[in-house]
Amino acid sequence: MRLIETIKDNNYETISIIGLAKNAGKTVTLNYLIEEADNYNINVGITSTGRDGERIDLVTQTEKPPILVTEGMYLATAKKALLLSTAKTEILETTGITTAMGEVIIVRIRQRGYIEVAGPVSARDMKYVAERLKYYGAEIVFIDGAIDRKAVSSPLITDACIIATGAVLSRDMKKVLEKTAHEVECYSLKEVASHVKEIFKKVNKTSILQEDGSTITPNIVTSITGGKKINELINEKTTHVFVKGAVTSALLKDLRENKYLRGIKLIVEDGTKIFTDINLWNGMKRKGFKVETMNKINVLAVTLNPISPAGYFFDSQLLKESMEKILPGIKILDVVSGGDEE
Amino acid sequence: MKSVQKVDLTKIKPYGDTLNDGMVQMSFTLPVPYGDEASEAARQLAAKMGFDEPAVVYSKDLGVGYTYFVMYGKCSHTVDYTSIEVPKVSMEFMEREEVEEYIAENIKRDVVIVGACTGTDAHTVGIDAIMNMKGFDGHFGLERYKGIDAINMGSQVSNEELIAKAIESKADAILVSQVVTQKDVHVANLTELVEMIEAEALRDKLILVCGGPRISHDLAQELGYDAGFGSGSYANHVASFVVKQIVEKNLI
Ligand code: B12
Repeated sequence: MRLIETIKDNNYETISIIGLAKNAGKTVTLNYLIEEADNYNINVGITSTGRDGERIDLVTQTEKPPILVTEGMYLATAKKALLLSTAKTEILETTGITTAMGEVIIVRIRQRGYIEVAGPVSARDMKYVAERLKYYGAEIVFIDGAIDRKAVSSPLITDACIIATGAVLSRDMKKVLEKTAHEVECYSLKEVASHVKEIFKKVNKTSILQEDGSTITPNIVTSITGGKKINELINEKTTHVFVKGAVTSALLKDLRENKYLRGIKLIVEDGTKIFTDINLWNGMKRKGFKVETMNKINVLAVTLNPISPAGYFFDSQLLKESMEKILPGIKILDVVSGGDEE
Repeated sequence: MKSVQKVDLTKIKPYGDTLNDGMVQMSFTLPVPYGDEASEAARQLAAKMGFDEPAVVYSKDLGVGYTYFVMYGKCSHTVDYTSIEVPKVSMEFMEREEVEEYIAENIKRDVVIVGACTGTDAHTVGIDAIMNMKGFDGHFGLERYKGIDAINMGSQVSNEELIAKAIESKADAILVSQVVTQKDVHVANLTELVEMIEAEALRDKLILVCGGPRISHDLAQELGYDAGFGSGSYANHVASFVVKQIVEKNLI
């Protein structure tokens, strides 16, 4: 099934496109999806958490692909970005949300052309803008993530996500595979059993669940520095530890020392909350450390860009095959050389 | 007295001895052994870069088969200076005394600001210039401000430590300094901080500002910050921005 059909069949309304690094190919992926949606007569809405569509990248000064849209599509972008777009548009709403490039405006495309997208930067404003795009008639809203930011892919904001990765991550293909696999693993963690989920949802704080169903709430301001206190409260009767907020290397290093580690499951809010050193994470998992999530993120596909703007590239076939091998069951698309084949 | 030739701001190019001669001096290293062939390679490369009359004026053997060059060349391109627009924090900056009054009148409590130079970056001078009592270039730093509780954590602070400190001290604003930009480490560092703050559900409760010689307001906003301050920034600029934002975002 083609990617666009999967999105339609699952009734996903908001899709985030996040990159594991700058220049991982988010814009190419977005263009591909816009074209596919157009072929299927689906009205799409487009916005971005960063700035996209401009020809020259702000950070690396390398050339970037422009974004082409056609009549009937919806767009949320900042005023100055709109002035730089060649597509003819009709203004539907001024949102009051400000960015470096001016207020975010919602428009309908009247005539085919290129656009620059610069949408809201905070996850909360993004949620609002996506709602508005849907309100005006967008059947699917694509949100292009900024640089390597991933907060918009939280299930609280988008229904599913597409991960763009590629050669730009490292000159060493093994590292690209490892980093991509780690990210997909965090996103696709198994959801915790529903009765446990209900308990933690009610507590809604970092807490420890015991065999008998009782919970202990450590007196901490953040789990980032709360590892030691959490550790002291874990005992042989502990079954789950729920961390609300960021799960960082500092916290995991504290937990690593816990002698009951094998018997407990760590529960995260969702995959975007995990910030860990890959070696630490993998090392702990080998020792029997189990992690589950309150909310799973639907990873629809991983897209590949085998070329790095730093001037090196991978054999695209080899990259694709290797990625498929370490990510069985996930759709891998080389968007640079064409996307879905059938 | 000779009359000064008028500059056409819509077509500016480098100045060497005379206006619009386009003269550029550049230097680079090539991974080839010192010699005539190396100099010719450098010359051809500069020609490919678009320089007219490229000339090697100095070359030096760096050993291990590498050669260093200093070159001249004439740039044939121009830039329209009048069409340039660089987004900056657009507001009227208040002086220290005005900021202090503004806080007393509108916020009516101490404003807590935590700052640090993060990651492996060890450059403290920038963040000190903004935060320390003494300040920089005749402008006192935030520590000197009545109504501001400034906490400077120094350099090589991890994003985790910075956020933990901000939460612990109930900070209104976080100031991050990034000076080293090699391999875009500043980008990775700055986005990680925003992502962690989003994960801790704090993004709407904090004013997030970054700064450094290669930071622009544009880039800062793209990364998800409220503002970015580059070279030539002073404490009163940041203070003005932060206190106004506290009121605007209703974080009093
Ligand atoms: C002093 C210095 C050092 C000192 C730092 C001492 C210290 N305690 O800070 C030492 C010797 C330790 C050092 C080390 C290194 N340095 Co050094 N260093 C410099 C130097 C000469 C001056 C920097 C400085 O102090 N500027 C003065 C301050 C006041 O300016 P500023 O930082 O721009 O800050 C202003 C604004 O940017 C802004 N601002 C800055 N931060 C913030 C934050 C906020 C929130 C706000 C609002 C505003 C703001 O406000 C400030 C006041 O206007 C520069 C070259 C140069 N001339 O600029 C190189 C330079 C910064 N260093 C450089 C490098 C590469 C290094 C090393 C990696 C060298 C090495 N190979 O070991 C190491 C890195 C160590 C590390 N882990 O970070 C490069 C950085 C290149 C790059 N862009 O990545 C530079 C540019 C030199 C060069 N041309 O190569 N360095």
